[in-house]
Amino acid sequence: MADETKEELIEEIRLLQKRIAELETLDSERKQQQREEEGIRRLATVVRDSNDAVTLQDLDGRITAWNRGAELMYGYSEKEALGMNIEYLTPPGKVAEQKEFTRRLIGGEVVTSFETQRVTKEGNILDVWLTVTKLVDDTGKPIGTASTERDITEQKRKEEVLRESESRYRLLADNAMDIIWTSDMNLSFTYFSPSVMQVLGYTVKEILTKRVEDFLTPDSIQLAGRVLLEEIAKDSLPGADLSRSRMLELQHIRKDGAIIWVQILMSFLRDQAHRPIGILGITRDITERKKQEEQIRHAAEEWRTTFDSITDLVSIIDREFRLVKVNKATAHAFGVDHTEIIGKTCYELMHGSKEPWPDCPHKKTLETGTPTTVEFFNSFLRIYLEVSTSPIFDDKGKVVATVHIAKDITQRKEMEKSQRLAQLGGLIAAMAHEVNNPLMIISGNAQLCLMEEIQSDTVKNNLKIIVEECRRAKDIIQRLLKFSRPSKGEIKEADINKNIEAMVDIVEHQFKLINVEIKRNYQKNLPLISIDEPQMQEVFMNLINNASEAMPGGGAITITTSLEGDFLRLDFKDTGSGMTEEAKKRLFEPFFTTKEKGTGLGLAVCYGIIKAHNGELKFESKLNKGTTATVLLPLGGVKHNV
Amino acid sequence: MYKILVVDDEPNIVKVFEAFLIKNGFEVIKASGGEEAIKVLNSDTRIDLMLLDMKMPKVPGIDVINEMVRINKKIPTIILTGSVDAEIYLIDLKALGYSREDVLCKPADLFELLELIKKKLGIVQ
Repeated sequence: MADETKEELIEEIRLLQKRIAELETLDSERKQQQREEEGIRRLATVVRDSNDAVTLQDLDGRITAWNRGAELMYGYSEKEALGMNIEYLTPPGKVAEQKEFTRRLIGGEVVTSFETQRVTKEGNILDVWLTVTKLVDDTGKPIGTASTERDITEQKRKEEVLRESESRYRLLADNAMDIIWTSDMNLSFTYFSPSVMQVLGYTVKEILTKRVEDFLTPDSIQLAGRVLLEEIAKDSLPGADLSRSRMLELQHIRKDGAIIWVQILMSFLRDQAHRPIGILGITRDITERKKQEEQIRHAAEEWRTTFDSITDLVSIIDREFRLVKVNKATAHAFGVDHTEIIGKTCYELMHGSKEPWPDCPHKKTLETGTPTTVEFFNSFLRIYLEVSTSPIFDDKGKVVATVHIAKDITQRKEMEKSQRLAQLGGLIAAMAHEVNNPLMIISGNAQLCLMEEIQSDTVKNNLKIIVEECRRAKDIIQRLLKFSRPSKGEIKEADINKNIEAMVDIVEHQFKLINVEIKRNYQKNLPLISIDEPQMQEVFMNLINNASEAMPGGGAITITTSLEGDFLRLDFKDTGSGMTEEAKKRLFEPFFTTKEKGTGLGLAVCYGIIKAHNGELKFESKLNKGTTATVLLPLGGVKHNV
Repeated sequence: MYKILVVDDEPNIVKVFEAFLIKNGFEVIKASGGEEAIKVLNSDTRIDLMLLDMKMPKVPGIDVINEMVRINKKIPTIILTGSVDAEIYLIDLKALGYSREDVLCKPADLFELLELIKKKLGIVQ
């Protein structure tokens, strides 16, 4: 035993050591295994509790492991799922893909994560993010696959919504003619839509490098600044509408230097606490609109100017006879502001009456729908008018208003009257002259008879009467002829005061006898005037005689001379009975007279003479107050075309 | 005996003047128009005075006067007229040496006419 040799001991120790080492190894292996198992267990917990579906499949696709996540995602319990082929989880369209993919994976290809679709127990299609790995045994032989699936349906939906809205906005932003932009509160721009190119000529990149002063005019910058401050201030007011927007018009400077008008609609971008952190704006090029506005304004202005520059009285009158529009000349003629006339009836304004007058052309045009023209004397304005009305139709062809044009034809009428008088005069002259010869013959023969021995006194007397009456006839004809053709006397420069005085001198004495006093009111130092003196004397004589005849019981005639603009003014005022309206109207009518023995030619003659001097003869009269005859003679003188 | 040329296109007027003038011892030569008057003027016939109507057709009175001036035969003339026209002619007549006094308006007073004739002929009554 002791011979159990050292060798045997050493061998036993060696064996024991080996055994211990083996046991230690086993122990550590066991511990290792325990650790691994622990690790696996932990992982298994993670897998089991994961929200993602983590599953294992064998090579044929049969599910061999099914976690809680899978249960929740697919609706199959572990019991139901185990043994089921994953084909059931694959939508029909995807089955082939799935098989192909598995084959490749098993074949050794590395397949990464990708998106695919799955079907739940209920038949809902899910979008999933799939990660698959190969499962191999110790020898490396594939034994199946492990999948992790994440339900990305919701995410996808959100993405889709975002993408859609993004594409919608992009569509808007890209294609809007308007520029959409954002900036911070200091007007430092952070975004410009591509349409900035169209509107301002800058690319998006370019403009983001520019400062506001580069593309806004100084006035516009001031305005923008002011508005910004206003809006910031508004924010601090109670009850401020935080979603409000503000519109303003500004001028931009394009890249090429041109200045354009734009309209900007802006609102604040706000943080969670509703504080403004930036500005969102949409800018529209309104150059075209401004141009059109300008054209409209210009056209309206042109219309207005034309309308107002027409010297005729133009107005537009509606169906109720109310003045809708009047031009300046109309307002001026009636001495009112044009705002006062609008809305008044035309008959109230033009005739001062309460209803339309029977010959009213506006009324006629309303009824007939055709233009109407009338001539009449407007006693309100005291002028002759030619009024034309033209219909204005609506879409249905109904007359809704008329254009009423009134032309002052007083001058024309006077010229017509002058011409008529002249024609009449010419006629009279011709006839008068012819009468002279027969008168000569009658008178001459009667005179010859008187030279014979005549027994009968009666015959002698009768003959004398014949001669006498012929003489009288001659006088009448003389006056007639004077009327027809004011004689071509000499035109000289004269002192009108002296002229009048000369004539007054002649009559003063006689007038005193009939209690007519002559008062003189001559303005001193009147300029000399070129007149036909004897003719003028005729006029003065006529006027003074008329004045005195208007005062049968006596009275006073006041003669006033004065300067009125470019005219010499002579007034002959009496204190007589005045003229009736009728007399006033017919004053210059040849043969019209209120006198018993008047020929009615006196004033017609005067009128002719004064007109030949390019002057005017006017009368003002009030019954029982007296009459004033006014003569106006132009200092420019007479035209030699009598 | 003084010879007076009466010029008027109205025959009845010529008759009146003729009767009156003859009654008053004058010899009368008649012309019914300007044309005739000019003929007479241009002839050798002696004319002491002319009664001249202004308004005559074809050749008016003024032409007769102008003819007188032309042939330098300024016979004393009394102008008869229907009045206003005289004024118009007056301006022309002045230039020819005639004045208002030489004009008589129809219908004329025959005795006024006689006075004027005597005055022109220098006959003292």
